[in-house]
Amino acid sequence: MPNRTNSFETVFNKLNEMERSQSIDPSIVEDFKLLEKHFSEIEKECVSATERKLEDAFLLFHVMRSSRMILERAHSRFIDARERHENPVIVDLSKMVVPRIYDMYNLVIPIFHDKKHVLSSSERSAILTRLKILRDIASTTSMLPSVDDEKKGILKSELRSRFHGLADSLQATVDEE
Amino acid sequence: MKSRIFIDSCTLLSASVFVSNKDIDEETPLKHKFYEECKELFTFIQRNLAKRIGIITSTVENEAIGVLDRVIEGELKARGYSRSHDFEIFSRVFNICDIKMRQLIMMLQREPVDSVDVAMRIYSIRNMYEEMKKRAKSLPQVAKAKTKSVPSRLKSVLNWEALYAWQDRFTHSQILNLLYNPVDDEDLIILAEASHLKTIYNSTEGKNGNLYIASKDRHFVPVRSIRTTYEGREITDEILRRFGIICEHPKRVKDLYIAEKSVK
Repeated sequence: MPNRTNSFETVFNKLNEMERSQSIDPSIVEDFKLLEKHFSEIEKECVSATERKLEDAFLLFHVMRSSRMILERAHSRFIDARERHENPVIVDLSKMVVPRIYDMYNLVIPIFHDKKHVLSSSERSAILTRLKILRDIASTTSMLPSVDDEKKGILKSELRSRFHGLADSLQATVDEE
Repeated sequence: MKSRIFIDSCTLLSASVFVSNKDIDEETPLKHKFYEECKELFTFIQRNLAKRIGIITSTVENEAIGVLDRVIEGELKARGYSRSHDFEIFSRVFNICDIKMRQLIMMLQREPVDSVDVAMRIYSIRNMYEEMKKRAKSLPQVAKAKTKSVPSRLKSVLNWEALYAWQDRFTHSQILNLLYNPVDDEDLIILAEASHLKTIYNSTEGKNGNLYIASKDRHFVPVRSIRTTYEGREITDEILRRFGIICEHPKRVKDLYIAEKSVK
């Protein structure tokens, strides 16, 4: 799987150019789509790479999926920018979010390519902290997917069953404490 | 100082696990066992938003995310879900809880802390827990002696020794818990941060207010029995004595805060 550092560079260059010209270049949407596709492929590989530990595969999957969803929000904001009078505000907002996604990507991608790598607790913690920072910024810039976005396309019975399990396990954790 | 309520990670998490009945096609919503109690405290904080009484630190936020990660990891392992199907669902569930946590955190004041001062305080807090652990190891066995003092006409009424042993265990339950469930580093940091913040508030605002930690963690808050009035609260009392911080369950924190204000 090719590294997408170049795609990030293209996005950064276009954002800088848009900031300078104070107008939106719609071609950036295609660059976002390329990155989203790449992230989606990584997600699929996390699912299929059974040689990787389950919890590590899930964390990588979760990070890539969460980052991709933020990218999708950024991309749709660019499409709607004219209607929402966000030209060129969206450029400034994207310049806050995209570098964080790039940081996240650079942290995760070497681990992703080394399928035998087992995440240590400090690595897990570093990934989760970086994901939290990314989501903090996405939230500040209104690029965080909503609860409704997260619930879209999921069966109610599945949501109920997973939340049930989660609530039970969390109760056990608190009770143990 | 102005009285404040420091939210612990388990309180934050418990108030975040909620799915409405509409979302799951059920008559009742799905929620954490402590959801109501913890949400009630957040509702109280929200009603008093202008007073900025609820506080949190980034350690608590990260700890809450870490616990969520561990629990989802445990769920994936224990229930043997399929990767292809369940990664996606659990990732959604993770993010839904994260978003709900963010909505709650918005009601709180994020307090910055001086990491050097916090690190120095951790040492004395660790010592306190070590002393408590030692005390738990050397507790006298008093059930037998107490049973001897029961009047002979009442001896056959109850199993007095079992009763006294239970009472004894319950009264010391907080410190006995340390023997098989030692305090973790995150709890030490959270208490050190609370102690650090209390010192800052005292020095800048005066000493006439309280700092409460709202938690469900028995390393902080008393263990209570539903049917009796017995309490295990040796650690809670020691935290109050050494650091001047009141650790209580979320509902009790709210009641104490209201009572304190009505007295003033």
